[in-house]
Amino acid sequence: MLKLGLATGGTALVGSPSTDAQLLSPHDRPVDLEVKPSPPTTPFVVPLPIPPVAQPIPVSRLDPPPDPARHQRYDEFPAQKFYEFRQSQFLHSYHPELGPTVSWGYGGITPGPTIHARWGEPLFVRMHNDLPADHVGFAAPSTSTHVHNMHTASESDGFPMNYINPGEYYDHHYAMSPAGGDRREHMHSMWYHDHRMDFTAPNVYAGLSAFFLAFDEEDSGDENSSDPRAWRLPSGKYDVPLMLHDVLFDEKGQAAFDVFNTDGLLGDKFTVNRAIQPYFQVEPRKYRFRIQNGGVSRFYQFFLSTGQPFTVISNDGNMLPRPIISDSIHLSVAQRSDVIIDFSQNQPGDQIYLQNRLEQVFGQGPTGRLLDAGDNVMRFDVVPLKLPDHSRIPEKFRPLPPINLAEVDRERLWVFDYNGGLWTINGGAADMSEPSAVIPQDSTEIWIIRNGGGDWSHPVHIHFEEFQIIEFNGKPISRDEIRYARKDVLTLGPSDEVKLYLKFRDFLGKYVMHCHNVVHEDHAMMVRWDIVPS
Amino acid sequence: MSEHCNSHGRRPFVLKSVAALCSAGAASHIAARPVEIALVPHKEPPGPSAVYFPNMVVGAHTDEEFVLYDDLIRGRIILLSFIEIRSERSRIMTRNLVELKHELSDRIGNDVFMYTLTLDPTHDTPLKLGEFAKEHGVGDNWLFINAGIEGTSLLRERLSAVNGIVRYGNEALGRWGSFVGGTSVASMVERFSWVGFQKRSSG
Repeated sequence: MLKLGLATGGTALVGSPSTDAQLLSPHDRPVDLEVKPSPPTTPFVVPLPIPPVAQPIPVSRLDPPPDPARHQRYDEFPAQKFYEFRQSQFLHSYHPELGPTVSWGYGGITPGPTIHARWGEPLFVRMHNDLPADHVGFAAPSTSTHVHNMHTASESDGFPMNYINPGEYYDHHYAMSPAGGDRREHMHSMWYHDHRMDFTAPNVYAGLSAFFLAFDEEDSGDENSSDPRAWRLPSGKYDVPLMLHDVLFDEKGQAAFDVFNTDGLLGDKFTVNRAIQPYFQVEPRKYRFRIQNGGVSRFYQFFLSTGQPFTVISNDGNMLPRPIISDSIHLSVAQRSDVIIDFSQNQPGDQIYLQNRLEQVFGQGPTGRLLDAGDNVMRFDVVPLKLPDHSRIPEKFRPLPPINLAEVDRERLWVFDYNGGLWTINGGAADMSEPSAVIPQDSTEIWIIRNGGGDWSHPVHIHFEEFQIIEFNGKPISRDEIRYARKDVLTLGPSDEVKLYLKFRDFLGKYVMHCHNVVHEDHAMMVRWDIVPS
Repeated sequence: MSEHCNSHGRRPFVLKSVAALCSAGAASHIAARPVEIALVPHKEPPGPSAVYFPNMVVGAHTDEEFVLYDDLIRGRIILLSFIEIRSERSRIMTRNLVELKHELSDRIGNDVFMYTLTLDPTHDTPLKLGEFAKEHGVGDNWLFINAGIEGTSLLRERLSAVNGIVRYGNEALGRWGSFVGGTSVASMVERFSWVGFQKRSSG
């Protein structure tokens, strides 16, 4: 007996050890926002941080230089702008009353620098992993960077197994050519984040997230443009990215994460651009806010405290055919919505809160109930107007690419389910060594996404190609709905069944579909699918 | 499937807030009362994962007893699987893990430690665990653990333990991942580099 104990490295007990009987609750998990909530913080004392715009570098600074042979179609889309980022660990202040928090990020900050890209200007991004190899904590210093939901070659997509360890780097090439060469497939508000196999949730939570914005002649980023094609949406300092992460902090001000949780995790501190409940000074004019939900498991439904409406202009980063006025916006995990808020009827001194009223009490998904009060996530403080507002909201943007059911090559069924404690897709768990679907290039497919469970929600994310919803629970989508759009995250509520239309164009290789409740993703709710030569 | 509420509904605030969502789970919430656990004082200051592993005495299929955290977990790279031996899923996983053990033969018992915790402590007695281990040819350096009814209740919640999944981790770093028992052996082997990262020679 003693021999085995030693062989297993343990010491078999001889006699009874002295013990201390304690009453322990199974419910009292080591990390639990109900039992151990974050320390209190005063809301609206932190100004909203705006991540800086990333600056390109000369290609001569890249050593070794880019290797076109590593990338599909590089010669057709030679990079015109080059970036080099380092993923590192640093101290970050979420709130002055919490003290510094050990964080990870790109370029020494979180959110990382915002990439400004233009369609037609291919990019090259070299990503170095300078994270500490011996890091003690929930996150894993090994990374794979995904631009959600860039239309890019597999080798640049942040496939979960294309990871780099400390001291290594990875090159990404973004052709900045829309799907099928179709301008209607342009995407505008994206984000880049870690996608490491098994560790996406903790690594993004630790700070590895940032914005990636793409412009073109219409969405030109210039509200004063004289180009007749330009939409002249609010631009510059009036075009404001808002990245949401709900975070739970321990008594030392460090981000707390339950490494054994499989349901999903919620934080009790609402952060915007990694600041807890910030305030933002606005002039009485139009603003474009690019709202992105970067959190682990939380869903939101946002309202403005004054009852003012949002003018919704995009869904999942894709322009709607036309703006839609709405008194609220719903965001499941990883979703984005660009909205225009017009403060021109407000007076200097007014304070307007961005409120989340969607009840969610556990990580599996929201209850669906709207609260009367909700949580004030940030505050807009109205200050005097400095310059006239020349921005516009056009009556329409661009039409959706047509859906042609006569082109459909095949139909696939994907069932998101829960089986005896395991999250599954079509009954299986994530296996990145084999594709669950092999799709000939240039195919058109119908994917039926079914929630096999009645108690939980899944924000389903399909990489690479945007989809359109044909039917939601048997009914077509109305043109008046915000989800009448090109999308990359499908909010799959309890027992929902949704029919999607997709094409698979331009590049070959391995891609994934997964639940973007990233705890579910890390616990195997992901499938690999491949595009192969037709 | 609707096993969800039975196996996973656990938080008391769920009862307060959305009991209607999970009526099947309500019974398990009520049943999961605080349990009295005899804890052994730590020999040394505990590491980053100690909060998940109460320092309690557990039995093994070898008829030995161990102090869970101090003897088995502290400072180690660990492969911890969960079984109910009456379940076919457990058998599939165990067969897979036996193959993994062969692949990692020079590391098991040295820098990687294999444990299997039963979630059915009443049925899966240490004697039955021993028979199960022998039937599957698990060999040395792999402990099948029975933590008793109350200890299992606690560990099931602390570790979100469900039959057929494997936790792999490095206790000294507080870094833990998870995979399902049916995962390919090659994929399981690769994961061990993920909790003790070494710079690769190329790439």
